Amino acid sequence: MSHPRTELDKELTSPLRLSIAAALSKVGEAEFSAIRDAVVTNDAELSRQITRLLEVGYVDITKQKSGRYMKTWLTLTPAGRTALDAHVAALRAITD
Amino acid sequence: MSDQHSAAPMSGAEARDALAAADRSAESMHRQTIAIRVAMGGFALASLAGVLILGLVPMPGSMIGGLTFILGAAIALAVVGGTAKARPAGFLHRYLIAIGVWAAIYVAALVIGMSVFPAEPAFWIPAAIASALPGLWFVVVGARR
Repeated sequence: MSHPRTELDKELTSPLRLSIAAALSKVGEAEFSAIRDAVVTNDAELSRQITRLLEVGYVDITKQKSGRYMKTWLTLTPAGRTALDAHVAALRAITD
Repeated sequence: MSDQHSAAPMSGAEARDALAAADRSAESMHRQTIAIRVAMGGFALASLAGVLILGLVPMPGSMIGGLTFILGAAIALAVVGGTAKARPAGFLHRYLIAIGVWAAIYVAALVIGMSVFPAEPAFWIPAAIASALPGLWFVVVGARR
C-alpha cells in the first residue's frame, strides 16, 4: 500500500500555494489584497505563487475596474478545488 | 535558488502545520464575507421597520422617516457590497434575486396597502415580514456555504 504522501498534489505542497487555494475555496472570488492579507505574505511573493497556480489551471484571474484603477480578482477553478480536496485528504491521512 | 515554499510535507507534524496554516487562511478569508451578510440583514430589518412605519403611521413625517430608514440601509448595503474585497460564492446571483424580489414585494405592499388597507395591521404586519424575507434568505443561504 502506498504512503499517503504519494497522493499529495505537487503544486500544493508549497504551504503558501496551499493557503491561497484554501482561502479561495471559502469564497466565490477575492481581490488580490484580500488574499495577501489572508495568507500573510507580500505582493511579490503572492504574485509569484499565483502565477504558478494560474499556469497549472488552479485559479482564474479577472481584472475589474475600481474607480480609476483595475483590480485583480481571483477564483479557484473546479480543477483547483478538486486538487485542493485531494491534497487536504492526503494531508489528513498523513496526520492520522 | 531554493524555493522555501516547495518542500513537501513528509512528517505528520509538517502535514498538521500545513493544514493549520491553510485553515487559518481560509477562516480569515471567510470572515471578509461576513460584512455583506450583516449589511443585508440590516437592510431586511430596516425594510421590516420601514414598511411598518409607512403603513401603520400614515403621516407625512413618518412617511419621510420610513423611506429614509429603508434608503439609508439600502445605501449602506450598496457601499458594503461595492467595496467588498471578497465575495461569497454565487454572490451576484443571490444579491440580484434578493433585491429583485424585495423590490416587487415592497412596491406591491405599498400600492395595495395604501389604496386598500390604510393603517390596517392585519395587512401591514405580514407585508412588513414579507419584505424582510428576501434579505433574510440571502443571509441564511450565505451562512450555509
